[in-house]
Amino acid sequence: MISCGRFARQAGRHIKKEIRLSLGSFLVLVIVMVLIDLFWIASINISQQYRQMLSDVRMEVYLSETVPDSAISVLNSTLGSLVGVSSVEFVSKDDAARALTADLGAGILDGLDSNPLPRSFVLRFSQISDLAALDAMQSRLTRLNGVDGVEFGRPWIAKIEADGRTITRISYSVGGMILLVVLLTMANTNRLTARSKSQDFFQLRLLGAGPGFLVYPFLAEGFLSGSIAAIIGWVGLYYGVDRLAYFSQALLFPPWYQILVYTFLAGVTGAAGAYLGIRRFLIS
Amino acid sequence: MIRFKNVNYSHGNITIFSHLSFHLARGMYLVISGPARSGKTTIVRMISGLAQPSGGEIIIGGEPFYAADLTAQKLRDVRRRIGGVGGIYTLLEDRTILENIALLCEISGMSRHQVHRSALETCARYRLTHVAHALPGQVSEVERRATLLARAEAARKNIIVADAPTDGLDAESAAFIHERLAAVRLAGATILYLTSGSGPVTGPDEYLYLADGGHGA
Repeated sequence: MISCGRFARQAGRHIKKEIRLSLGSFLVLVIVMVLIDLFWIASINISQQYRQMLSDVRMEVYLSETVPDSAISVLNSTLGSLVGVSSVEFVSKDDAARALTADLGAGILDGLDSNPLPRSFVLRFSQISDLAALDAMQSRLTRLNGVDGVEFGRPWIAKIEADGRTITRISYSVGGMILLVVLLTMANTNRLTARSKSQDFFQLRLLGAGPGFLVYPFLAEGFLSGSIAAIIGWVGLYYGVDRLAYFSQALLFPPWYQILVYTFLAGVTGAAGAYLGIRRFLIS
Repeated sequence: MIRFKNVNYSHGNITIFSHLSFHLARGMYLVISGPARSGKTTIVRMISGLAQPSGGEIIIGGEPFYAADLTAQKLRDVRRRIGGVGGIYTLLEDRTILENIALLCEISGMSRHQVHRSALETCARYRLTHVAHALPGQVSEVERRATLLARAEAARKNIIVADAPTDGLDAESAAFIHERLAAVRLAGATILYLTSGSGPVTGPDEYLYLADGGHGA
C-alpha cells in the first residue's frame, strides 16, 4: 500500500543521505522564492501607487471666451453625467486669477488690461483604469462645443505607467528564469540523490517495484521542498519587512489565497524538477 | 513454473552455458550446483529479466518470458513473484530490518495493516525481533540472510531464488537458513537453490550439476 507516511519517511531518508546537498539546494530555493516574492510585492505596490495616482488625477477643461455664462450650468451638468467622472468644479476667471497670484505672488497680473485666464472645469474621476482611458476622456471633452483645451499631467502618468509595465515585464522574465532555477536545482539535487541510491533503485526494480513506488518519495520531497521554501520566503519577508519602519505602513502583500496558490505551484515545480532529475533511473 | 529449454548464454566469445534445460515445477525444491563461473548467477539474472539468453527458451508461468512483447508491466509481474536471497538480491542499507522485511509486502500492494502484521510475524519467526529496528549494517551476516528470506516469506512469494544463501556462514547458521527454506517450501513455495558446494542435504527434490561452461547434468 502506498501511504503518505512512507513517502515522508523515504523523503527524510533521501535528505539524511545527502544532508549537505539537500540543505544547500533548499537554501537556494528559499533565496529564489524570496526573489520572486520581492518582484511580486514590487509589482503589486507599483500598481497600487499607479491606481492611487489615477484616482488623484485632475483634468482641467478650459472654456472658450465665446461660451456665455448662461451655458456654464448646462456644461457642468453634461460633464458631471459622463461615466467615470466623480466631481466637477467650475473655476471662474476670478478664481483662476486668485489661484495664480496665490502660487506666483501678487502682481503677476499687473499691467494687463483684463484677466487673460480662461474659465475652466476641474474634473476628478472614480473609474479611470489607465492612461488610455484618460486619453479617451480628453479626446471626448476636446470635441465638446465651447471647449478650448483639456489638460492633465499626462507626461508623469505616462512615465509611471511605462515604468510599471517595465517592472511587470522584468518580473515575468525573472520569474521565468527563477522557475528554471527551481527546476534545475531540484533536478540536480534529486539526480545526485538518486545516483547515490542507484543500488537501492536496482533492488527495488528487481523486486518488481513500479515507477510510482520509486518516484513518489522523490516527488513528495520535491513538492515539500518547493512549498516549504515558498512559505519560509513569505514568512521571512512578512516579518522582515514589518521590522523596517519605512515600509511597514506602505507595502502591500498579495492576498492570502494567491500566496496559497503560489505555494502550491512552487511545490508542483519542485516535484516536476525532482521528476526530471530521477526519470533516467526509472528505466527497468 | 520455470522451464529452461536448451538455453544458451554467451558473454562475448565466452560461452557461459549451452543447451541448459531444467524444469522447476510448482512446489518443487531444485538445487543447481556448479563451480564458479558456471553460470549460476546468470540463471538468476535471466529469471529476473536482467540477462537475455543467446538461444533457447525460458518459460515462466506457462508463458515465454523473453518474447518480443515483454512489457515493463509483465516484467514487474514476474519479478513480484520472486523472492531472492543472496547474489543479486540484497538489503536496502538505509532501511531497518523490519522495513526491509516489509518492503516486498509494500511493493505487492498489501494494505498498511497487512504489511505491518506480516512483517512483525515474520520477523518473530526468523528470530529477528531483537534487531527489528537496527540497520542491516548493524546486524550479523546470518541475520542479513535471514532478513532476505523473511522478506520473501512475509510477502508470500511463490518462487524463492536462493543464490549461495549459506556461503560464508558457520554450520549452525547455515542449518538455520536450510531449516527456514524447508519451512517455506512446506508452506507451498517453489525453491531454486544455487550453490558452488553441495547444498542442503535434506529437503530438495532434485539436484542439477552445472558443469563449467557446459551442460546441466
